[in-house]
Amino acid sequence: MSTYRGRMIFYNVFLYFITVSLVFFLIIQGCQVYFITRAKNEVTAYKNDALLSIRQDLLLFGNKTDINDAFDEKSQEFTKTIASIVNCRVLLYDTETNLLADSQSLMDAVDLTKEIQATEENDAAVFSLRDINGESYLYYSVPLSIDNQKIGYLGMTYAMAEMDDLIDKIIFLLIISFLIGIIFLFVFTFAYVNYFIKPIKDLTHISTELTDGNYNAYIHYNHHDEIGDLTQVFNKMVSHVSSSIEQLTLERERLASVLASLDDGLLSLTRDGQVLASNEKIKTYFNIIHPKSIYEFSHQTFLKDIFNALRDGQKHIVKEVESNNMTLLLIGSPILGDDIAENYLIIIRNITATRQLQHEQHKFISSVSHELRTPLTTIIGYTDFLIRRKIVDLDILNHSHQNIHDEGQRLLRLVDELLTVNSYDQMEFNYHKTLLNLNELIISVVDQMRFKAKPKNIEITYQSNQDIPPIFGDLDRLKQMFINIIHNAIKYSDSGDIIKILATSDESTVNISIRDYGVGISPEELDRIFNAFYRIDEDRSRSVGEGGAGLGLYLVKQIVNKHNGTIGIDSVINEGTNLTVSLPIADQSVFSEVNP
Amino acid sequence: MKTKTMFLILCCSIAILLTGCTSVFIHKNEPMVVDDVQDTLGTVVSYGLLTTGIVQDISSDGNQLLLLSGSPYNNISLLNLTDSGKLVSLINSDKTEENAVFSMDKKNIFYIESTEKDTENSNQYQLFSSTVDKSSVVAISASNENINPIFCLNGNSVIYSYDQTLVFADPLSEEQTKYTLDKNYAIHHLLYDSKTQILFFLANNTTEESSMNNLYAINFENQSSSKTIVPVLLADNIVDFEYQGSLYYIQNRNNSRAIMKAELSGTKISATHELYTGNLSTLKATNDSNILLFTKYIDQNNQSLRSIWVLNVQTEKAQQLTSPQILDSEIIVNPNQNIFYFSVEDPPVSGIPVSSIIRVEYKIE
Repeated sequence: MSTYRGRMIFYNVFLYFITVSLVFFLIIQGCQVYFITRAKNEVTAYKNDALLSIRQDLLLFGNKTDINDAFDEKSQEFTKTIASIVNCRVLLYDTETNLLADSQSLMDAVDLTKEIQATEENDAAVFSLRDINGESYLYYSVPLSIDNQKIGYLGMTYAMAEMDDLIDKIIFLLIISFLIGIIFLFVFTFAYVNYFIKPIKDLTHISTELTDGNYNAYIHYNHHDEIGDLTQVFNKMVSHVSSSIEQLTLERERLASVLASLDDGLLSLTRDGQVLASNEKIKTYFNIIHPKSIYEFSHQTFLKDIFNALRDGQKHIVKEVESNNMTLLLIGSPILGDDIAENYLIIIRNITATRQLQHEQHKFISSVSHELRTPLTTIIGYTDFLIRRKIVDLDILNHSHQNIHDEGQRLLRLVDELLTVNSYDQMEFNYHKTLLNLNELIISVVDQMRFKAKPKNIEITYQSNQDIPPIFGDLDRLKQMFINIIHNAIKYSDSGDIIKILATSDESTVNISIRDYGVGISPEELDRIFNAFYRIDEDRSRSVGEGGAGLGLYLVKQIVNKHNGTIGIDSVINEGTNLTVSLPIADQSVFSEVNP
Repeated sequence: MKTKTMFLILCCSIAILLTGCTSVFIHKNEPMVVDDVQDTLGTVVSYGLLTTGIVQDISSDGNQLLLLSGSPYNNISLLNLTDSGKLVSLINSDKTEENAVFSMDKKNIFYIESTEKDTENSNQYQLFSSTVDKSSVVAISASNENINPIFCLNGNSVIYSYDQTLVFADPLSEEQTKYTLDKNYAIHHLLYDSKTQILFFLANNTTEESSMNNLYAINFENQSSSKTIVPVLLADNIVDFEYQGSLYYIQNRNNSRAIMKAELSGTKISATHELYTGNLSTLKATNDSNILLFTKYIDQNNQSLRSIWVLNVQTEKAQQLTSPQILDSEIIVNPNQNIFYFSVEDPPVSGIPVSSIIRVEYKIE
């Protein structure tokens, strides 16, 4: 009964039972009314036959003065005669309602007392329906009058065996029909209930699929009825939900991609600490994947501190912390909205590089200050010495002037390098790229740098393949690049060392390696060697008075990048350094299109 | 609420089912006055025995009855109704007389004399005419004609048939006009209306296998005796008929019979109307064209017991006048009064059947 099928079967059986009951009732009652009415008509006709027969006999054989006596006398004969005419048992009564004669044996008496009394009281024909030993009878009585003289009463018992037989047959047939009907009802109800609830089952199945995320499932029902309307509406709903889900998914993906593309970590929190949204940077910073709650950040107590502070009512919190060798800037603020509960947003920004850069700049400024201060102190010292002592010794004067000149030159170099770096940082180089024979360029630079190396007795060798393909680049910048590299090699080489330059090529690049056997670079320094203003410890330099501003290799790195090349460095302390520059071979077809 | 309602309906249904076999509209063992059945009992003013015999005809003035008398009722007698029931023997022979009728002027009677053929085990009939004063007896038909015993009057003349021949015979002039029918009809009832000159007859078409009797009509106005006559079929499956200004007939239906009234236009029925249905047997018209007398048997299985009923054509109300009895004759209607005569079979005396002639005077309501 808890299922739709069970209820439908129950209702059908219930309705069937009521219908059969009513049909049964109406048929039986209709039969009874029909047969009783027919019996009444027949006994009324029999009454006429009987009355006429009695009257005729009395008129033919009696006389009016003794008509009652004649009736009493011939009553037995009358009952026989009438019974031969009519299909009834006939009884005659005198005016005192005493039974005179019976067409059948008096031993088998019937009691029409009530009917005769009713007839006497009403002076009219009376009938009643009797049940005698399970058989139906119509008892009928009527006053007998001849020429307005009452002579007695006529009683008849009309057997309604036909009615009983028919009703018995009807009952039998109805019971059989009822049982067969019940069987058919069950069978057909099962069948058509399955048929009717199939769309409902489909609805359930499709709903389950919808729950599981399949929004492409539809119900196919081709009948234009109530179920058809329901399935159409359901399909429309599924289509709408599918469209909405698709839209939401798209929006979510967009939001996720936006969040993922952020350089900052993002943590959106509810008031009870549940994570509404986060991005991949959270994993990068804290190694926690898809956090669900702020309380998962057990090792990052600063996050909980910010969350608590926000929950306590602070509107904007900025905090810098150290975590996992990173400097993180935390910005916390509440998310406010009219229709939503208060949530919180914590942005985690990695400012390690910024802080490193600032550190480098501070170091650079300190270094530059020191570098500027040293020649200036020397120049001021010599000039103060010359002014205070009033030196006239020519040798001393020449020596002092030479030192002042050297320190001035040093200052000029420092200023030039600073200006160069400044120009690199502030604007893009106006590169004038042409097809270059890199072999010739390197030979030119090597020849130039040999003059630099000669005072230190350092030998520079250059080897290359004869068929080094041309590259597409800016001649001056590339020259500057190689000068800076070779200059550094000379600077950190010992006297009598050798610097080997080797140019090779493969299918796509020209590779130039510059190998020195100088002091070498520690692994920690290798990572920062190309940063601006970074300088290896000056004490390790083999050249006195040639300390730079830490911008040489920074410029090299910038020039290589501008030529879509790569730069690599291998170094071992006290064994030397090998720096390799790879530049792409020029695509001459493109070049010819650019410069026809 | 819903469950309670269903439970209530279920209880009611079970109650209805359980009481289904009990008569609800008519309670058992409780006498009830019969007030919804129309009583068809007619008013009989008098009912009396006239004499023994089988009544045949009544004179046009209603004063004399022709009856078969003797034992076993094969002679013709005349019962004078005005002279204290004086019975006069008219035809008394060794042969069997039957179908006796008065002529219109009641001076003659016509009757059939039947003789049993030795060879074919069937009767041979001859039509005779006799004066009421028994002064002369004339044979209307020839002895070799083997006529149909059914004949009818045409005023003072007579119409009879044999084979395919219809004969109009005048006993006074001894003239006979013969007409040839298109085929041989086994005629059961003949009736001629001298006003319209139409002959109606009920016949079984002997050329067909059907035992059904049909009602035919022949219009003898301007009819030539030299031509073969094709009767007009008026109605089929007919039991009996009468003509009294209008045509009345009893027609067999599926399980009952109906008295029909037909309006005629020449020999064509222009309209019919059903007057009464029941187990009808014979039909008799009175001089009042609105009053019919008919007999009705009890049921299909017992057609010997017949009651006599009167039907008012105007009101279509039928009333029973006699109890079911074994009738030996047709209803003979007094042309001037609401009186009719019939013969009823009485218990045999010494093995010999006895018929009594009953006179019934009735009143039309």
